[in-house]
Amino acid sequence: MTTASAHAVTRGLASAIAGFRPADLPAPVAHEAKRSLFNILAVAIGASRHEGVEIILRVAGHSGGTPTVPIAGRAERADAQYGSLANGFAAHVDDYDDTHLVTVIHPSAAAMATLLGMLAYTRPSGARALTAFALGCEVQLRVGVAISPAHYDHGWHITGTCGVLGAAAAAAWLLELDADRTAQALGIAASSLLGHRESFGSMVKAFHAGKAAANGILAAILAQRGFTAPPDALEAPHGFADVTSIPHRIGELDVDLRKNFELLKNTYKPYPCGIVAHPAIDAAVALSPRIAQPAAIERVTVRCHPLVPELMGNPDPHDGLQARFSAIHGVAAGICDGRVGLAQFSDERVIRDDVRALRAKTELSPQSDVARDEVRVEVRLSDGTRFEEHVEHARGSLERPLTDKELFAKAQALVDPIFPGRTAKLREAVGTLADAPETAALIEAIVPDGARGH
Amino acid sequence: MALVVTEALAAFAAGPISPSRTTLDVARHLIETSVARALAQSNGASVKIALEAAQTFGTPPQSKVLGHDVRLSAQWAAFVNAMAAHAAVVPAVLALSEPADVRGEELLEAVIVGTEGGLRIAESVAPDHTDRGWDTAGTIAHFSTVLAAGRIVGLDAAQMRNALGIAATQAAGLWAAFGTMTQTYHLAKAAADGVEAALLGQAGFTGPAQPIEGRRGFAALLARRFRPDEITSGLGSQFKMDHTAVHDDAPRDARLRDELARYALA
Repeated sequence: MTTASAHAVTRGLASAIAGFRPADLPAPVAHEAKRSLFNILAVAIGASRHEGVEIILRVAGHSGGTPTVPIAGRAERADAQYGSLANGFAAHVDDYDDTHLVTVIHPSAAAMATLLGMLAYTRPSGARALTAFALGCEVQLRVGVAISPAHYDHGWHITGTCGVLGAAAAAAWLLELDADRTAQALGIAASSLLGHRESFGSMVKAFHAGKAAANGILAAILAQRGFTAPPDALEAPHGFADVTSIPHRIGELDVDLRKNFELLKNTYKPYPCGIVAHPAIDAAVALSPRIAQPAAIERVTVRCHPLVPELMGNPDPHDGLQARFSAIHGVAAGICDGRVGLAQFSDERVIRDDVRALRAKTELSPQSDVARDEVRVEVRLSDGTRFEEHVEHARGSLERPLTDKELFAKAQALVDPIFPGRTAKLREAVGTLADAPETAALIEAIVPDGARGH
Repeated sequence: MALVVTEALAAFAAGPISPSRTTLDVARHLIETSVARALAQSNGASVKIALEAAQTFGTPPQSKVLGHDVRLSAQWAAFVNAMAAHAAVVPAVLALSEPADVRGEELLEAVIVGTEGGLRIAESVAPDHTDRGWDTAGTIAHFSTVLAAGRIVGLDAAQMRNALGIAATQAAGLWAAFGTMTQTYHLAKAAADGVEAALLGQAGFTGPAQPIEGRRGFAALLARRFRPDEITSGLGSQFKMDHTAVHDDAPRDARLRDELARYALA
């Protein structure tokens, strides 16, 4: 591990970003970056008809600039500002994106939105595009590690706050800024941090990821032209870490970006809701075939990690957005339907009688000896029959990562309703990105046929 | 009381107001000072960079950039003009007034609800908020610009609350940036974000119910102590900004005026 002296963190990080070459990305990291990019593009396509995306594009239509930025899943383009907002928003709004478990950062949404936002300005090769995306994720995660857990615990939505820094890093790197100007970009970005956890349950939560990208791009464009900022914005007294995250270890931030990649610890959600509920949903889906009549259930007891009721304790959500913060809904829907995907979080599904009835019979029982990716679910029927399911490690956890095949199946369920049969093409475009002279094939894979342009 | 802070502010900013002559005078003074500064500083180095950066987006020519023969979208005109004016509220209001073709009275009222709302929020978290390293020119200005911009575009109370939620989560600006161009960027970013939040709110984007007073909201995250009464007490009937009137030299008002200067006039 290489730590800059505690008073040169921002400069050290900026030098490492400016000096980074695509060849510095080790093969396993490039592979994980591709998995992350494939996952996030599929997620964004899946959410491309969300009302919030429509609203952002409507505002872009009358207030936005030159439409250069492709929007995943859409025929329209938007300018760098609104295009980033739309892509980042769509990538995060279904709570179906990736998670770096130690920091709870969802790094790909802002990194992908930044990459798409910068394509027209910088026309990168495929290798540079993939590297920029990886750097955008990695910088978020390194800063996140140094300010966790205090930052999130205080109430900051770390995906937004660190997202701005990762976005600035990726945009600065694509613009080929030198170390000084990269440090300025990080400095401007630090003063544009955003994201309060109060907005969870509203459209503003996903707005954080999109705006992080937009702010990072603006910071890099300003820095490119000589706009000045503090060269030590991360570690300075009254800088990013001090102001948001006491206690922190910003001085220990590992600035050698060529090894110890946090991106290798990225995970992909199998279910579109808060990750702490995933072990319980695994158990519910496994129990479902054994229960012929959910109406015959008398009691469901979920022995879980204490964070489950803390973060996802809503016992009776009224719509899809609220249901994403209800572990009880995830369990009830998993038992009733035998699967949990976007359909189980639609507004109509959430308020139907069968899941409402089962939710009322389901209780969360926090246990101090149950791990975060573990659960024990017990179902008791009114005739006294009991079923039990113990999940040691949830699907999509570090110990049990989604396989490439599972990831493809997830992507397919998201992409097919929008672009039938397109998922293999998307996987191919991402898989061969590092060898592609440009990003045209990638863009073709994420927009409707005939809407390619550029 | 704490539960109704955002709702009360939204109702205030969207509803009818009856400002006194003093209040109107303060607003007029803010407009004059902001415009004069923007014109005087229109060729400053940071302003030129801001203008170039905004032009890279190729925005529609909706609102004038003061001192330049250039028009940008309202959001980016507000950004550049705020950089030049060292002020956030007036540039945000002016940028939206041009495409909307508003009357002078409406323009003054927008400046008033933005300034008054911002001043009250600043009071509710003072002095702890600033002591912790937050620059009110970036943080508080996000509230004043969204209230003012929201009024100009005609948001109703519900839309205003959503717009406040979009703006609140972006309230930022670090003391560490003092002495660099980024210090002024705090104001400029607030002006642009306030305009954008108002436009998104108008288009139906939704936000949290209690972005200011909620458990993980602005006050909880950016200040240790929060006095919601500073915001709600007398809201609509008393105007704290009256005490910042330039002809009023009473010493008890110097701190308020200083606070106003920090985020509105710098």
